[in-house]
Amino acid sequence: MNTKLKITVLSLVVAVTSTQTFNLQANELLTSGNLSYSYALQQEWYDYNNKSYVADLQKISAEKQSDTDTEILELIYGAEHIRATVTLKGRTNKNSSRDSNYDSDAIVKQLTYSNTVGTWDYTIGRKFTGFGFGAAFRPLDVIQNQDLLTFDRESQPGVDQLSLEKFSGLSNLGFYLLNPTQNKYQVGLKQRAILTRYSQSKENADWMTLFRITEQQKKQNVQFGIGGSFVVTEALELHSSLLVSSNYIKQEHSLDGQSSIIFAESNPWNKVEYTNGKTFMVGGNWTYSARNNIMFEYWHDDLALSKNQWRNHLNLMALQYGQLNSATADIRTIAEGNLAWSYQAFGHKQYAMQDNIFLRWSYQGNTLHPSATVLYSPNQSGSIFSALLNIDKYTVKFNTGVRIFSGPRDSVYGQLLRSGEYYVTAYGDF
Amino acid sequence: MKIVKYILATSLLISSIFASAAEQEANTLAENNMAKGTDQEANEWVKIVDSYRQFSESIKVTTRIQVINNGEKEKEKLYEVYIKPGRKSLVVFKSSGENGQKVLMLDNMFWLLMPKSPRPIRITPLQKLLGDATTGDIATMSWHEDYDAVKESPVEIDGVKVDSVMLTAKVQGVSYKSIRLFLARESHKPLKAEFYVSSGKLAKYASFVIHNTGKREQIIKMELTDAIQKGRVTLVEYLSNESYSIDDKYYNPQFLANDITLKID
Repeated sequence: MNTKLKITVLSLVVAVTSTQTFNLQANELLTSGNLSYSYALQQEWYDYNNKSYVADLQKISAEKQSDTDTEILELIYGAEHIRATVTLKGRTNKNSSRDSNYDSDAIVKQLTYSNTVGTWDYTIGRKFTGFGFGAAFRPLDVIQNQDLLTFDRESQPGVDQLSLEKFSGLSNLGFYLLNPTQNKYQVGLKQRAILTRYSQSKENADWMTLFRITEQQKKQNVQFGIGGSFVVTEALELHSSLLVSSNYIKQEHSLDGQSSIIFAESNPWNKVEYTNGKTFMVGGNWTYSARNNIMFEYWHDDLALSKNQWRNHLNLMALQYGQLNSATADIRTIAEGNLAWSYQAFGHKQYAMQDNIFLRWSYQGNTLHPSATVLYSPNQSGSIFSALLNIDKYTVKFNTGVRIFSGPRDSVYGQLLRSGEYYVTAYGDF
Repeated sequence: MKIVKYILATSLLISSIFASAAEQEANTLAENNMAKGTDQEANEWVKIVDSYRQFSESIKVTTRIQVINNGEKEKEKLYEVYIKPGRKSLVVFKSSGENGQKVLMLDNMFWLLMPKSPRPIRITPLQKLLGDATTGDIATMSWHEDYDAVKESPVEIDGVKVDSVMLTAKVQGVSYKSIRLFLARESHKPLKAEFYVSSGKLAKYASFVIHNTGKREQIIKMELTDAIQKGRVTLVEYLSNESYSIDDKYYNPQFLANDITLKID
């Protein structure tokens, strides 16, 4: 049975149970063992930005999708010592210039064996590991920072690890050996690292500190982080985090900052090492009425694009773009290829610049839960605006939203390929 | 002679002042004792009321919430609540769309745990109150730990004279600033209640359904009528209520976040 068929058959089972009014006996029957599951069906539509320097490139135009359909079925198994999460995901991409195509994936996102030795808990296997404080950006989430721009309702992929943790009262001391079987050149989720963390909760505050050692380009990177969340009044919570890295790596374009040479012959992106990186965030949460809540955050991240780096890169893209109208076909082809390479800048750090302001308003209605968020880049006047509506009335929940990228043409958000995204999701957890 | 009269008069005056002060002090003491006695009695009654919901120090309660709006069922939710002494409550959400979500309440500290996130989120007391059936309505099974009680004059409800007790919050982070309880005169069974928020406004009023399980009498249903949103009623049904104790580790927010496929049984 192919994956699409499997997902569809399983979806039908879910749909039959989901359409019934919630029934305790049915729910108990389905979850009486150790298995639970969630299912999401989603439709997304996109608008494209014709002001982007890469908007009309043939190569990129071919990849533009008008909309996608996504089905996600997640199976979660939990027994005394074994935990497992498997995600089956199918996605149909509808392209305005090509036929629809279907991709599917089955991923074991979590598979662990846990037990205790004396007063210590140990875990072996692949596991979700998230640390830190905050909503939009968490400097202390050093193992698997979540992708905030995804609409998909699914668990994050876990990280292979061996962990030893002690939970005592309201404190937690943990030692983690991450990706022990990977080689030292891996980065991101597969990066080999050792980490220790201590966290404690007090009457009005939670705080944590961590220390991580990784290997980057044959050098050891030592990171130290500290952060906390403080309940200031009945309505106000403040949080803050700081992460200091002895060295860090940025992807940089070899021609950025030059004006004489605008074309590269091979992939121009290099890994450039910097020292003493700082990432910090301050934010808070304010409940100002029985139903309204505001969240606010500001952060600075040395690892993201600086104002100068972006300006240099934008100049290069403008020069390359100017050659698209060249009379010579060869130059046009080279310009197109180079612009496509230049566009890779947007793949890093979720498009964010070094300084960011995030605001989120949410309203807790009886059945409707609207919210709106703005991610604003103060150096560029660019922003990502999102408006979401969650409908909590039926067994199957509905979620719909719109996301608008806007900014001047010389800003990151003004250069993104997409200018708008819209989606509708139906989902249930059982 | 005049001097003797003056001394006698002054002595009488002084002694009468002292006597009056002593009498006043004695009266105040008597009043205080009487008031204290009344409070103690009221607090004892609240403990009796609590025993109709929480018969054991550590319990597991399965609770179903139905929200009725203008006579029509708007939604239904299912929760499992694990309660331990010392104002410790763990609420596990069991309904579709929020299955696996948890709220941990330790004294006046609160955390929210989302099913697909391995991080506990510290929340403020007011954030805990967001939503239609507040977590406090579900997680709080005993009032005597959170409130001080004072007896009020008996009132008549449906032609029957009942006792009235006013509860005032003595700890931070509770859902309601004060609660007025109406109790049966002999048994002190809870009959009705009024819930007031910090502004002093009446937020909800409640009635209780008590059932004899064979072993004991216990509250099996609480009907909460919204005093602000007219026509809105929340039915809180206690589907099961058993003596049950889980390991203290489950009241550590980091442990809960770690164990996202919570397996308590």
